[in-house]
Amino acid sequence: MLNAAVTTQTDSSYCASPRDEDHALVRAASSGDMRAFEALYRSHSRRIYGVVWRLCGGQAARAEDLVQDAFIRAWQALPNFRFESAFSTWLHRLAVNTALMEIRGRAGGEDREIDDSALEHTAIHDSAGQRTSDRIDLERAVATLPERARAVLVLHDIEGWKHEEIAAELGMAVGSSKAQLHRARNLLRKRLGEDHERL
Amino acid sequence: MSDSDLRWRLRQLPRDVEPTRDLWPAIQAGIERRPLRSPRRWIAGLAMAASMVLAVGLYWRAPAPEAPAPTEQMKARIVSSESRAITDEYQAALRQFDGAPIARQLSPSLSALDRSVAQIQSAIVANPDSVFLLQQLRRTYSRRLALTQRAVAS
Repeated sequence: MLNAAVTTQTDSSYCASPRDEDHALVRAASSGDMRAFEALYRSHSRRIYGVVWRLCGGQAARAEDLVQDAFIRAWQALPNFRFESAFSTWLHRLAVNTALMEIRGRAGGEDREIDDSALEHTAIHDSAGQRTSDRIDLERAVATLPERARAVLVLHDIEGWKHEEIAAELGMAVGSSKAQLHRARNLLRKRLGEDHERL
Repeated sequence: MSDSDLRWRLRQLPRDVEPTRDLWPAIQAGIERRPLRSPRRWIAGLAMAASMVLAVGLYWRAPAPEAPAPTEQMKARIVSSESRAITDEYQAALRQFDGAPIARQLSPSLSALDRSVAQIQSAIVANPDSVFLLQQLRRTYSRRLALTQRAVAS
């Protein structure tokens, strides 16, 4: 129903921004329209999966469970969504929060094995062989970092969060976030160096 | 490799990653088990109701023409009353899960949140006019409730 409305508007040369389209879908989903929520899922799932998958160290099954949880939580929290911000930003925060809660709750969750099949899966879209290889090396090195250090690195260096935001989300001091980032970068450099030496 | 080189390489990684399977059917099933609701509105409604009762109470007591600006003591009473209201309501919500099986791996996080709640409540007793602590209490209880829902569902 809503999709039809959006299509009609597009046909009559009305171009809603992605943000407006999202907000229209959120309004419909908030009133119980499951198809509108599915449209939101289809539009944002890859972006959400990308960040959660990296926070989980490339463990596909675990990341998929968390993304499912995040979208279910989002559905439940939709009535609380304030239309002042982009839905994508709100959803991204909620998904990161879901992943970090699970990471904090895991005892001895460090140094788990990375799911290589997932890494290969991400490389399919990259046609340049060397770049793909470098990218896989980098993804693998990120995935093998200790969980907290990895979380800070992913959020700061890949997602562009500020230390203050990371510290608040991870329940740590800003100084600790900076120290974890320093540690993560050093470990990453070391692991990338080791990989190249092996080749 | 410098920090900026490393960061540049990291920024080149694709933000979008395709899940290995379609997650929508499982999400839809999860949603159908848990209906749409609004816990924060429920708490906000409670807070608003509590504030209105408090406001009416204060108006009733205060002589209107010479009503003084809120004193620290008055602020402390408001914080204390809100703190009790938040605690009562969240505890009532959490009691709904009494006896439900809890996912074992989430128990340490639940205990940590309980400890945080206790610490914040102690801090409110020591600093009875701190609105910041009240917000922290609400936030921590909200997390506790969300995690409990997840722990029971998983």
